Parts: sequence; C-alpha cells; structure tokens
Amino acid sequence: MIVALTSEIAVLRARVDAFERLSGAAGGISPDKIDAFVPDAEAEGERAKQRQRILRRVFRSLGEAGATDVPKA
Amino acid sequence: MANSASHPMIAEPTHDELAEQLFVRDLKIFVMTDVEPVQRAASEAKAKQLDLAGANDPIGKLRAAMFEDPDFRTWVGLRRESQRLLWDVVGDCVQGQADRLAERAAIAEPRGSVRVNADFAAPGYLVDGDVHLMPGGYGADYGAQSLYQGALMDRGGAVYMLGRNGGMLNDVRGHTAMAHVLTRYPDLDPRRILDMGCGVGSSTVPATQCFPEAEVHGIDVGADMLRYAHARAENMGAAVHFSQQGAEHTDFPDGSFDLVYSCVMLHETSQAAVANIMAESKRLLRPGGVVVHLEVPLLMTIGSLWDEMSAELEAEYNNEPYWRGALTTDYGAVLANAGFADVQVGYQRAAWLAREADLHFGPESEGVFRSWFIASGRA
Repeated sequence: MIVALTSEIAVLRARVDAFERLSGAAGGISPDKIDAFVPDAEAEGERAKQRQRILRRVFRSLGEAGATDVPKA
Repeated sequence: MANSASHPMIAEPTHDELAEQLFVRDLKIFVMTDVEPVQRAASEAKAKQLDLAGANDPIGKLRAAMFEDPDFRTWVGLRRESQRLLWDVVGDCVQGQADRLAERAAIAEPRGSVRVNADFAAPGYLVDGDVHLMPGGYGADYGAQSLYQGALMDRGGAVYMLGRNGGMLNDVRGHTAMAHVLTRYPDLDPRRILDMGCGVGSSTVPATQCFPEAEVHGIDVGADMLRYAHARAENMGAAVHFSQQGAEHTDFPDGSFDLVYSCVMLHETSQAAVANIMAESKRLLRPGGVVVHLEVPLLMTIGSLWDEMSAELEAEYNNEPYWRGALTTDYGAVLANAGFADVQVGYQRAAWLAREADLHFGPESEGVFRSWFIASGRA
C-alpha cells in the first residue's frame, strides 16, 4: 500500500518537475517562480482545506470505527 | 504560520518545506482532535465491558484489550510517527539554512555570553532516551560551532506548539512566568535572574524584556542548544549569559539570584532530581528571593482510566519517562520541604507580553494554553 503510494508520488513529482521546466523554458511558470511564491491568506486557507480533506480521506477508517462500533452514551 | 511574531535566527523554510511543515502540524492536530476522541470513546466503552472494578492492573488490562483493535494500534502508531516525521522534516529545513545561521551567529560585540563545558555530563534522564523523540536529545553537541540542535528544537518547537505559544518566538511561557512575578511578588524588582533548563532561550529572553535592568542567566545541558540560544538572544537584542550546567547542581555561589525560575523543565527530570532542583533553587536565592517553576496545565487533573492510560502512552511513545510522576507530584509540599515560605500553587493566565498582560493567578486551570501551572515561593 505505502510502497505503491510512494511510487505514485515519485512519478507525480517527476511529472510536476517536467511541467515546471518545460513551462519555464517557454517563458511561463518556472521552478524558481514557484519557490518564490508565497500564498496569500485566501490561498493558504484553500490549502488548509485541501490538507483537511486529504487527512480525512486517507485516515477515514480511524474515525469510522467510532461511528459504527461505539455505542452512543 | 498563523502568528507573524518571529526572530532572525529561526530557520526559514522553502516553499516545499513550509508546505510539509504545515502538513505535519495539521496531521498532529488531526491525530489529537479528530482521532483521539474516537479512540477514547472506544476505550471507555471497552472498560465498561471488561468490568475493571476489582482488577489489580486495570490500565494494563484495558491497554491489552485495546491493542487487539487495529484502529487503536494505528492511532498510537500515528501519534508516534507524526512526531518523528516532524523532526525529520524540520531537520532538513535546518540543514538547508546552516550557512545563513552561522553567519547570523557571528556577533562582533555580544551583549551577553555563552560558556560551554566539554567535560559536562548530562543527567541520565536526559540522555537515556531522546525526549520528545527529537534525534540527539537536549544534550547534543555536534562540535565546533554547531548550532544544529538548537535550530532544530526552535523551529520544531514552534511547529509543534502549532502557533499557540507565541508563534515562532515560542515565548508565552516565559512571559507567563514573569507575569506571575508581577502578580504575586510585585515588589521584587529582581536584579539577577536565572532560567533553569533554558533550552534555546525562548523563555529566557522574556525576563530581559520584563526586567531590562536585570542581569539574566540561562543554564542547560547541551552545547549546541546554548550556542544557538546565545545567537538567538543576541539577534533579538537581549543580553543573556548562558552556561552549560545541570539544574540540580550549579557553580553559582550561594545567594546569587533574586529570581530563579524554570518553564516546563520539571517534567523532563525525575522525582529525585525535582527535590535536588528545589534545594538548589533555595541555595541560589538571597533571603527574600523568589522561585517560580512553571509546568504544563494538565498537572493534578489526572484521574480517569483514560487519563492514566494516555499518560502511559505519552511516556512510552513520546519518550517522556517522568510524565506521570510529574503530573501527580504535590509541588506545594516539595517547595515547603525545600524551605520556601509563602508557597503558591495554581494557574497563571497565559501572557503574550508580561508587562501588558491581564495579571490573573488562581486555583483553577483556564484550560490548555490559556493558563499554565505554577508553583512559587519565597526563600
């Protein structure tokens, strides 16, 4: 599971790297521009929401156990 | 980070490093606030089923039963792994900043000083395991002019405290200890102050801000930590004299200080060490001087089966061997036994700046991060 997920992330990172370099060479978004990017409050708020969504999705089962197995007090 | 308060010695992350630090922070919050209540409810339901009333070892029995549950095991594993991930992530960030930090640490005309001692041996309770799973622990000395361990602890601590403790300054506890002095000992006006177990000096600098006329000293066990603490203080314009010493026995003469304090140090020691530290605090104070030891606000609230089991897991999985002992100690009695008078035990309202704080000290905790436990007295 984790091995496959790590493999997927490695492929994804290579893909993003290719995108940044090709785009930069064509005068568009480059790795340097991304490294210098500082998200404003709105963008950081969106990122925080994305992190929450990923955490809930990936670790879903840990919270679900409570909902199904624990009798309501 | 949510709070913009910072200082020039903090390791600055790159775009990707900040993203991973925010992730690990959110992961830790998720594990604590989303997953933990579910596992707590499951444990309490299991405790009812097991009928632990007559059991010799109710915690052991409950723990064994809960470890049968894969979700519980995953939660405990996540608790530990998220902490290890934090240090790994922050360690990379700090290494990337090594040259910039070394430049910043070269101070032409320092206002304070740092004294390290190559022969110093840190006490066993700090070297037997890496407290908080921080690789290298408090005592690390990577030699020469290494600042690494201090920079790691400072950045890691700020991320770990999740912006609740003064942002990148991480100095609310120091200001809260000073606010306690202003609340309960307003006439003290200390001229010489000692911070025991000062770490990177995040709680030491507030003493210089609250009492600008005072000579402020900080002691800790790690050379890296102290070199960084000195550079950090100088970069903030604070004059502090750091030296590598343990809090149980120092080389300062009797009656050297008007105020001796510590912030969240006691729970990293041991029962015997706490008695020694109180005796040393007494020896170091001039008659009428004040001791202030600040601790985590959970003190003395331990009671339920869940609290007990949670404390056990914290001790084992986050390398906090004295956690449970520290949470059940009667600090008022310990101070009285050491010869202190007018002993005060309670909770000081958290202060972001001691001189501007709402000064309040009372017997009830106002909650985690809203107030801090304090035991204080007069020599």
